[in-house]
Amino acid sequence: MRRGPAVEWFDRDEPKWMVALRRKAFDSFSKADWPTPQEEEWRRTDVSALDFSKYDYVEASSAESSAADSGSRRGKRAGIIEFENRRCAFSELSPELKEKGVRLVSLSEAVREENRTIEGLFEDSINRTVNRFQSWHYSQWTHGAFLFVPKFVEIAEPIVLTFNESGSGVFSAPHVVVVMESGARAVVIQRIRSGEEDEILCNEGADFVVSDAASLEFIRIEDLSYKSRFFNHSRASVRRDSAFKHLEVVFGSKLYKSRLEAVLEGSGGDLDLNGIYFAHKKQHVDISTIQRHAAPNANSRSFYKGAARQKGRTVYRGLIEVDRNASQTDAYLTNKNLVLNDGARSDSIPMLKINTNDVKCSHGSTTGRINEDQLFYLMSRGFAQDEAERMLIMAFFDDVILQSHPAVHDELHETIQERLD
Amino acid sequence: MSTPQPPVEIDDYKYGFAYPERSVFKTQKGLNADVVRAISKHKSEPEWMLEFRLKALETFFKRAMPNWGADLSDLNFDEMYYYAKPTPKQERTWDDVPDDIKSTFERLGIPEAERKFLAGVGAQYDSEMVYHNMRGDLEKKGVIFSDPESAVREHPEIVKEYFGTVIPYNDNKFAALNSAVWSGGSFVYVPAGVHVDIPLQAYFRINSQSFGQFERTLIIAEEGSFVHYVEGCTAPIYTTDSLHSAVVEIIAKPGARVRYSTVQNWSSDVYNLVTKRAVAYENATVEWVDGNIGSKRTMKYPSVYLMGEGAHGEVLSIAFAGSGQEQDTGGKVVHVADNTTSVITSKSISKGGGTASYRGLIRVEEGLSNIKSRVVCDALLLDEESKTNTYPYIEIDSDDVSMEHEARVSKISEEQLFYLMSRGMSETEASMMIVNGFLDPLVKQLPMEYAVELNRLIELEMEGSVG
Repeated sequence: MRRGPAVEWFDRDEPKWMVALRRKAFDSFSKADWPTPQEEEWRRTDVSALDFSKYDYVEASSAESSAADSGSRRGKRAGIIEFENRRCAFSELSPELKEKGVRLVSLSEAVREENRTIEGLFEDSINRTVNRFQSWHYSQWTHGAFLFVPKFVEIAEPIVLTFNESGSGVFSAPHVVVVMESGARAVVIQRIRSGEEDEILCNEGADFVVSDAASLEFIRIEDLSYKSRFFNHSRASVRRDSAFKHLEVVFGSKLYKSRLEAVLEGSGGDLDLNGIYFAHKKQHVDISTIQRHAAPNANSRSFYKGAARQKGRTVYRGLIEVDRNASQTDAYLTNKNLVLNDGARSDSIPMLKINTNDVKCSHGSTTGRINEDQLFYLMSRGFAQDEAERMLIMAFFDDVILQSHPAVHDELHETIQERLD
Repeated sequence: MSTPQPPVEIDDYKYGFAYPERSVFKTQKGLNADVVRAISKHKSEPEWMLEFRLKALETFFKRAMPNWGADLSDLNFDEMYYYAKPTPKQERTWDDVPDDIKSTFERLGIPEAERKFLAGVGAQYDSEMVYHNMRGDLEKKGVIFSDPESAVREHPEIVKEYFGTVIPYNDNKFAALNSAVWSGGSFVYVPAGVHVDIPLQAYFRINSQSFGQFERTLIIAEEGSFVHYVEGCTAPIYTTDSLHSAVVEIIAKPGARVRYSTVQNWSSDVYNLVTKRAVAYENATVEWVDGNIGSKRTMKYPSVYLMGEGAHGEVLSIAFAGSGQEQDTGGKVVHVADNTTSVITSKSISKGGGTASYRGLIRVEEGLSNIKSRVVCDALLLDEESKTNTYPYIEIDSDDVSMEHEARVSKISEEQLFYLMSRGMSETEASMMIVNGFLDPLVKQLPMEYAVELNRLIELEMEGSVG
């Protein structure tokens, strides 16, 4: 067991190139300072009081995590990979897909198999790290999943990635890599969770490649304990005529901070960044999305809806960035926030950075409480006030939920219902 | 029907003329405590003001430059002159103003405007107001319109009570700089119930090279009063940069209404870094109408603190960013009381590689009820290399709030152009009409002569931008 980020972490059974990449990331980690509120992206989330060296870097253990249950293996699926406390506990992929060349394995296994796609992706991500958390992640990632879908293979049912964490004062840094070759299609559902009493510091990362004419829908449902802290940095490369749809669902964690940067690199790309977040008790949720148009004729939309209750605080920062050559861009961003009581807090920062003129770019943001007229209407139809409120909150989130794959609808409804009780 | 546009030279800045500098007193280049003492001594200020200046200077040196906003990396504080006094004394009749200064303002059309449209005029040349005059009837009602130096001498009790209360000297680096070396500006006091029905105007002119102008304006509107204050700014074009860093404080007492209109047309070598803030008490209204046409870099976000129930704040911002310009402008409203409302409307145009940024804040403090706010930003990009950014910050800590924000970026639409051209207009005329239409909601808010002036400025800026 080791404490705090350290260079000894690298003496693992990994190919030289991965060790070299970890070292490179560790170098930039060592040179950087923790972000301070002087930096724009961290102005509303102060991490200066956190002691990152107190977390245990435990090796993957064979202990069952307290969050483990067979429930996640329910439902139709094309493949599943499950991690219990950073150890790959279960994986399954339909033989038909295996035959077609689809790979669903742990990231460590893919690295051991000398998968050079991963090397290229990591190298690129490490060269572009935006802060110390991200270089920390790339130097000390603990486990992860790798999905590869070859050319023109279409996977009808979802692929499920499950990360169960347990323990107290535990550091975990899962990484997800999804590589879609040209014309491939898939839906991936990732769940990350822990038991109520666990206290995890999770520093997650993801790299997505959506090649020409491919389509990927990725759904991430975070439901760690209220004692945990969660950081995520995701990058997506969206190429010519491809489609990338991402749904970010925030339920758990005392502190949640994520940054998703999707780059439309080829013309004709289509990007959807959706999200729902719900901060109650003393949760602090801080989300950034970047929809960057680096090529002409692409479309993008962001649609994030959040609610803050009790002493919860939410921050949503969404940027539409259009490069000089990205003419005929059509980009839109919507952020809607419900503040359910005094003392809850919601910040909305939609931004535009537009470097050329032949574009259609706009955003809209609203913040307020539950619509009085709608509430009155429902109550006049015989609903009690709290019932009516719950229905309206559910309907508020449904706008986003119903855009996603049906496989997660029930689960999301149930969890929101649970939170509202 | 459109009237043909008069032919204008491209990039014509008609205020670019300069007269030889003939200051009667000027401090050394650069900034230190001695310079501040010299300014204070020269103005025969009371001790408390000198102390205020020195404290502010210390803060200025301590504070880091902002790490956001417009690019200020070329701004060199050591190469500036911080104080230059153009005339031995301030005049109240136009004929007594020295000839070259008089002809400067005559070329800008100031005395004519005073006769025709204004209740009072102040004119500042480099560091000092050279002229201040107001209609006699207003003076009789107790309205004070003077430079702040005279106010410090003649009304120390009012100045002491309000000076630096809305914008403390340590508010930000540039407010600290202004607090240390401020000179000139306006002091406006409107007694309770007095309605100043035609605007008061101040005109600011930088004439010297590498010069820093730091005017300081304080407007106090007592209960139920009304005043509209208008300012205009120009400067000649030099090869070295100048700095304009003003502080404007407005206090609107219960039921008062203050409107502050600016048409800033600094030459393309002026850094315009201004702090403007107002407090509005019960049922008071403060409106900022902020037009930014000139300057090399502007960072200016007029703000309103809504301190009392029923207060209303409004910011209307127009920015025009041409080649080499960065207009980083916007507005801020902080809701501190129940039943308060605010509107921010921003319209910007970028052309020739210029950058126009909207940066704003709506903040609602905790535990308030019935708050309404709306922010709308429209940006028009006239060519491929121009840029626009939008950074609206929205911070809501109460639940009984209705907050809406939207922003749009567009170019001149082909359909609109086609329609107008099919009606017989040339492309230039049609573009002009679309741009004027885009700005119309704001231009309407300006007094007539300013609206005409603004339209004319935009015509000048637009010349040669199409085709």
